[in-house]
Amino acid sequence: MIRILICFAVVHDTENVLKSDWENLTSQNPGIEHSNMIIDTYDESALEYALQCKEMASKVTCPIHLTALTIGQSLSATIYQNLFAVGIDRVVLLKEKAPVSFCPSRISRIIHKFTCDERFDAIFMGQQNSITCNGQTGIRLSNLLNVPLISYVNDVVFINNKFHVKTKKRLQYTRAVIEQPAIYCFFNAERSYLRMATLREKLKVQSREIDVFDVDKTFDQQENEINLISLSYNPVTRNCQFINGQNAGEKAQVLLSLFMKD
Amino acid sequence: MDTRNSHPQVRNRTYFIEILPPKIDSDKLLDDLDLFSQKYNRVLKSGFCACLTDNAMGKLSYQPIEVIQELELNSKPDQVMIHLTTFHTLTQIHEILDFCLDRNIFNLLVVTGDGSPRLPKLSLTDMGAVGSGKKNVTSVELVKYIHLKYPSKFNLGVAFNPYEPFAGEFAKMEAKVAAGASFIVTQPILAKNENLDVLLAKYADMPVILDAWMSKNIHLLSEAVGHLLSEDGAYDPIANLEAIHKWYPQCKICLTQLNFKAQFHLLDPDMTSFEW
Repeated sequence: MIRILICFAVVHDTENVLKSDWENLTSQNPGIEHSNMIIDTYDESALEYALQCKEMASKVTCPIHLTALTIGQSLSATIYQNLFAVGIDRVVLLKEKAPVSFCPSRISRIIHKFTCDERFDAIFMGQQNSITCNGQTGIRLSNLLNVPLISYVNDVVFINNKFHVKTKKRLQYTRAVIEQPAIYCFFNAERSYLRMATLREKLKVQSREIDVFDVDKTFDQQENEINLISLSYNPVTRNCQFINGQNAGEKAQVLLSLFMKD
Repeated sequence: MDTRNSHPQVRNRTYFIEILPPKIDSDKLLDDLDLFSQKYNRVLKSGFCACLTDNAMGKLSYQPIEVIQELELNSKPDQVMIHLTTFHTLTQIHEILDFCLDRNIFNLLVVTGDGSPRLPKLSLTDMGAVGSGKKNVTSVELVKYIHLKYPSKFNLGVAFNPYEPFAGEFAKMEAKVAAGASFIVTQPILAKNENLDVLLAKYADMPVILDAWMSKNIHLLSEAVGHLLSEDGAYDPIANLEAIHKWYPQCKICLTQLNFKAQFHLLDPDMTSFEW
């Protein structure tokens, strides 16, 4: 059996944050307390790809077992019941009272400790957290575990007991076949969303519970930690340039000549 | 194709009552299902028609057919209307239609829908409408498709928005009727409306169901009608319902966002506190 660990963070759904709260961002923290808690966008891709690999594996003789792991004070039943309903086999909460936002050193060491206690053949996670992102956790975990890191993963398929991975580089895509344990960090993947469970699937898992473990206190130490000094907001501005012309054809001609000139 | 009046029962129900299936991200799913079941049974017992929405306003919810199935709800003929958007796979569309036939649910309100990036979307290839000049599948293609694959099986309704510019909305309505629509449901009506008057005159033979917004939530109402409404004066849903009855006595009414605790008893003709 192949065992995949999927690491996910639970974050505020910033889609629902009011415009007025965002406008305060440069002077104070945005008011996001009222927003829903959701699985982070890139981690959602990691979970969906893990489920797809499990489906592909079920068609051959090599089953895949999926463990979804998160770190925090608690995990809402809505989130973990949905994970069970879509096909995640086990959900683990590593209970940590201290804030877990922007502390890649501590988070990677906590995940490392967990993976040393249990064997995993692949670790899937988002490339970075959507809020206060640092993109460091996967890299640090790769160093601690001494396994390859495959970043900017765009697509993964599981064929003949191997992960066939497509990654997005600056100007092109790269494809590789991975045969050894590795960490896969997903970023703007082709399938961005976690599938939706049917009502029947959801009702089936109502009584299922997650595994909860307390995080070792030694991880409270903050040595070698990266600190978030400040968070700033760069508003997107548009510099409109009006193109003169009597009709669309004339305007297109002006635009074309400007483009050719540049 | 003219399927008008093929199911005249639509004319004979006094109220169509919209009920929203539980949301996908509900944190009290069992309670929400219980509440849905109570509302549904109450509507059917009262002789009204339950209208079950399909991801209304783009909010992801469970499908009406799966709620009916899992809760083992009865579906009396002509007392259930299912909303159907174009945000499904073709397989899902057939599952829904087959289920409806099996449960004697013949009234469907076919709308393009608000959708969500999380939902699949029917393609022109699915509908056999490649080369039709359309870019996306709308309710027109879906109505045509249903009549093609399930001839004379369903009574298909379409939406009319009286707040949209006249010419465009009427051109769309003509296409919907030509595709086989046999009844019309409007957006919430808040005043006597010129576009609606023209619609009623033009499609005098077709049942038109007017939407009455029963919540005091003006924000949500603005979203529903697609125009920002003033919040200066408090909106009185009951007074608005009374007014719609007076303005358009010939029409049936669909109640959206009905408060079952505070408003449902007013719909019972024996208990009504006002005349209509």
